[in-house]
Amino acid sequence: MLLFVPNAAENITELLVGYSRGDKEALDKLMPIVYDELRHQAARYLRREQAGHTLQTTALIHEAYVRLVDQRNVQWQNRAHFFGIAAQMMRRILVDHARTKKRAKRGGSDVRVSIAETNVAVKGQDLDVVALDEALNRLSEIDEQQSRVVELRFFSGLTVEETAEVLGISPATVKRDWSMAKAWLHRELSGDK
Amino acid sequence: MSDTDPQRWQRVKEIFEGALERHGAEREAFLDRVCDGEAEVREEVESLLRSYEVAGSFMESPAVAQAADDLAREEKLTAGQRVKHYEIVNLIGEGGMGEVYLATDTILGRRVALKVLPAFVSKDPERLRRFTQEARAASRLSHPNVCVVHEIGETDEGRPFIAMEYVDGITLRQRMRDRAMKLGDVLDVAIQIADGLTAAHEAGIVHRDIKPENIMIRPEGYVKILDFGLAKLTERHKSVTNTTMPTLLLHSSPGMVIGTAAYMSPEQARGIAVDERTDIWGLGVVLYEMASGNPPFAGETPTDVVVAIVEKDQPPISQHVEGTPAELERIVRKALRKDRNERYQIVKEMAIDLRTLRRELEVNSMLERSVAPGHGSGAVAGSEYARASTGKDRVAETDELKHLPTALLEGLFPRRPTWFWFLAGAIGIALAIGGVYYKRQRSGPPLRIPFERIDVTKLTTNGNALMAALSPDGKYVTYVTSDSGKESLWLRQVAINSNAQLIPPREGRYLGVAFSPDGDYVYFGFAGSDRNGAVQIYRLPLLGIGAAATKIELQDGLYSMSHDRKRVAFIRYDPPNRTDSLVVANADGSGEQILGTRKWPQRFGWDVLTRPVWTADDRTLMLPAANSDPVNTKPDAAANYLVTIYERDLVSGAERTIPLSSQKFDEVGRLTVHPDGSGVIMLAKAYGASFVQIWQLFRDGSLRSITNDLSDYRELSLRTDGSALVTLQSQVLSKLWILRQGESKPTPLTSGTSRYYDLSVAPDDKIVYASDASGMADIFEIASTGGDPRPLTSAGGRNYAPVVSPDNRYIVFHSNRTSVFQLWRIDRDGSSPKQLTFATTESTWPVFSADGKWIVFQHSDPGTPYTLWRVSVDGGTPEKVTDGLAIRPTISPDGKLIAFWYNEAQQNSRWRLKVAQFEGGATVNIFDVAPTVQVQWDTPLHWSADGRSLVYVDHRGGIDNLWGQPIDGGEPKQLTNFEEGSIFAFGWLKDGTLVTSRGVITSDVVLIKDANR
Repeated sequence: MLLFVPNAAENITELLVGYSRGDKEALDKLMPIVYDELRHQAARYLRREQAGHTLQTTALIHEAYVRLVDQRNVQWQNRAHFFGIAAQMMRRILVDHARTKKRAKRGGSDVRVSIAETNVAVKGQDLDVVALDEALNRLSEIDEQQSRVVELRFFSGLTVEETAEVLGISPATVKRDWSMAKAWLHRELSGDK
Repeated sequence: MSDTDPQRWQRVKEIFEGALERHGAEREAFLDRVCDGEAEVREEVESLLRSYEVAGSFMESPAVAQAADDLAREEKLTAGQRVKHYEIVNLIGEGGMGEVYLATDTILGRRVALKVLPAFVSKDPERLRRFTQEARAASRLSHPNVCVVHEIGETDEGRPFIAMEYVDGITLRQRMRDRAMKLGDVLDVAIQIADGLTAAHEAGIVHRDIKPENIMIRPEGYVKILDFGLAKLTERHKSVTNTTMPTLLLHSSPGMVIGTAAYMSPEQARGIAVDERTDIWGLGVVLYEMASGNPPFAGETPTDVVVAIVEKDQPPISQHVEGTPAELERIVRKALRKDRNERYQIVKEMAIDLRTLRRELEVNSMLERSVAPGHGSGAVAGSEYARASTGKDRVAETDELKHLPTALLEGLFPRRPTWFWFLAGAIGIALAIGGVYYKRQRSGPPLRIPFERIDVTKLTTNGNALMAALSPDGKYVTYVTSDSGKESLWLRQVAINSNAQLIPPREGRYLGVAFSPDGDYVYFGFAGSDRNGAVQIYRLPLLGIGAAATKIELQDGLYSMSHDRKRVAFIRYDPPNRTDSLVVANADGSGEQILGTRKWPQRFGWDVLTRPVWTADDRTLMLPAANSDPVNTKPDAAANYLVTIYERDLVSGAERTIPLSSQKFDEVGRLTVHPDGSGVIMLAKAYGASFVQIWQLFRDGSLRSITNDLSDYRELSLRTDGSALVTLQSQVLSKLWILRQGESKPTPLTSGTSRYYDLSVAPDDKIVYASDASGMADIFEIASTGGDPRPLTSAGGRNYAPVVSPDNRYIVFHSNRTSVFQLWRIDRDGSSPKQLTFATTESTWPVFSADGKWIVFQHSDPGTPYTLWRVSVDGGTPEKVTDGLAIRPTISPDGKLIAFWYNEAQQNSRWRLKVAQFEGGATVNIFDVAPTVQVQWDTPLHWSADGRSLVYVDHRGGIDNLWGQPIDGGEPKQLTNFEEGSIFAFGWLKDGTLVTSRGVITSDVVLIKDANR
């Protein structure tokens, strides 16, 4: 009863080309493939982690990319777009989960849920992913590039250099954008002016 | 604070970045310098700097680990977890569009497949809406080849889910991988896909993604198409994309999941809007792959595949598999035409061709088989049986089946007597299946679905079984076979596959067999061969091989004994008062008590075989019933029966009627309550369908068919514990034949074998006939020289009995496209359909008067079945022509006389031939016919071309031949010398050439076991 069997390596490259040229349908088709591969990689990652191996989490998306995209036919733009899509996907996944937890609690009882409870424990951080997502949406309206830097670095775990590569800007610019976005977002989330 | 002012934002950004590189006093100095006069900007920069200082580790470690964790850990559901009222059993599949779980519906206690889609799908409400709309539409199809969607909802986590019928089987992909498919299997699967698509297309639903992964095959070979509507999910609302590149793939099938380029149609590859013909292409690709083991379009890269799809012709299948029938190649080629206007235009046409091909192959293989071996093992097996049965306790039979007046039978048999054999079983005898005891737990839903998985065993293979019944304990099957016109009664011991002949072949007709509730006796109805042979009911002890059968009488319906054996319950039929009563009495017949009475058309039970069922605690009686839909206000309507379970609490007196599914059925019969109380099992022909199948209707309103094939089923007897049933599987294989004068051997006119009925020769010598080769009965025409048949009807319903007007302008026929069979008229070319009669009960078998102004037809109403009426060729109010029972009118070539099958009284006296004046109706002559002329409601009768005799079919010696009764008296004369087979219809061309629809009816006893027990 396996209903969708993406044999994705076949033509994800072509889809990426299409996506890079603004074909929205291509994105529609890419999403399930990337999603599936990320899940696959995530499961591997977890198994390794449980087995005591530490794994650089950023490897996740790299591995997905290597598996999905025909390396013989890889163009730089495609790689950038792939990481972009993966970052968006990761962001959605996280936010969906955080929202779900909120909703589940609301549905489960009438007890008022404190802000703290809705936070997602992001590896030693206490971060309201839903609020971050909303703030990031606002940021993207002011400064699209900064929001993409955040998406790639925070949600996909790319390094400064990788982010720079994907966005086609200098690492210094990435650093500056990151700093300001971080300041701006933190202020948004903490409610300070 | 206007962050959104780009200029200001840019200024803040520059200053912020500069300030960040400086610290302490240096930063202050920097800010003083650059923000001179820009207090607001400075305030913003300082605010951000403060925020930056306290942000610390904020966002410093990526969330990717958490996302990975969420992905891997939380997305999947685990056993025992619940999604609404579905409890997860295990994961059975996963992919980019979510996971599929086996789950239990905790309310209905049935297994479902639960497909949970990724949350991101629901982020596009418009897409989700279109998908649910389509999935819901598909779920209403309730076609046996379409996987049923039970529910569409959203999990607590916000993921959309689809609960659908769990199909226990493998995908066609797996099936193809397992081993090469035989041609018969290939056609079986293709035909079933075509049937499912036909239903979907008629409902306006296009699948868009027909491929082996979306086709499930159950172990018995039944096919289910999955995922109608899912293709919508990945489809853009408007697939118009303004890109400049040649985006072959990017425009690819809406719904096409990447990696399945091979199943894409040319129009999908081009990004053109798709329609039904895309599914025809998909079926063509699947058919090719099944037959050849290879995809028709291949390439090293997806782009190569797409180029092949758009530009290249597929190699012939014979390149992969030698000996591929040319007809199969032609069908595939026609489905895979690049230009969809050159393809099959409707999938039904493809289904017709596939069926025709399959019948052809079946008949070929039948002809290759040697003559059926008969029952040579009977005597030996009989003695074995006798030994095996020795010592069995005998219980004195106190319950007597009493004589059931034949007039009663007339009113009681199923209202749609088109299934000849099914009726033959029900018409004459009120014998029940062995006692069905009701063991249902009174509270809660059934925990399992009876016959969800089945084992099918064919108990006979000669194709000559006429009726069958299963003993209450499931150990024996009794059945009747026909050889050379003589019928014999057999007993089979299921466990050791042995057959014993209970009664040797003799003249006459059996009309139903059954076991007594204790299993000690076989009951049967039999009509002798003498001219007044009425139906009698007999009883034969099981151990009495050689013992004589005892004639018994039957007054009431079949009784059912309580579990404590103290009471009996039965239905009492009272045709004069048109009532049914439910009666309870002590086991010895005393203390009779009428629990309730129904006035017709409301009925207790369905036919004389219906018996009440006791619950395990003997407290409640349960009866299945089928009534025509009162909302339709069509008493005895041919379609839309509502099946119910009537329950009567014997202690409190409470009664209730539980409606089951509202699915429309053209025909229902053999209604049986399953002893677990889950619902009713019955024989039924779904509305518009051509074949009688075994259906289950559950208390929750759901329904499913246990069988799903191209046969009719006509017996149904359930083992007492509900774990097995015996039925008869019957197929009609026929074709049209031409027999020129002076020639001795007929030649076939149609290429395939299928079911051909009701032919009539038009004044232009074309042959107009009805056939349900496509699965729906439609009217076709074919030249007397052969060639391709041309369909003349396509408006739905079943269409039979075409006759052509003398001026060759009109065709009149009967059709149930508006529920009840009524007369319709179309122009000779099939256009301008016009309904001519509008009765609430059937109007059938039209014939034209010689002047073409009138149409005489057979009309049934609940009080007087089968009287003749006439209506103007332009419609209007019909007038009654005869008062008595009359069947199949035919008008003499000179237009002066009318003849028909006629029955003096409404009882089971013999049918005779009556000739009367067309105007006035004065009787001219009445002829007896031989008992081997078996008159049913549809038995054909025609004037010979010279107008000097009446021609009909005589089944003498077990073979159908035409006989002519001279109208001025004398003995009937045999006109044909066919040596085998049945004649379903006949007529003559101008030059006297005889046209017949001839073929064989095969019918075998089949045991169906519930494989979950």
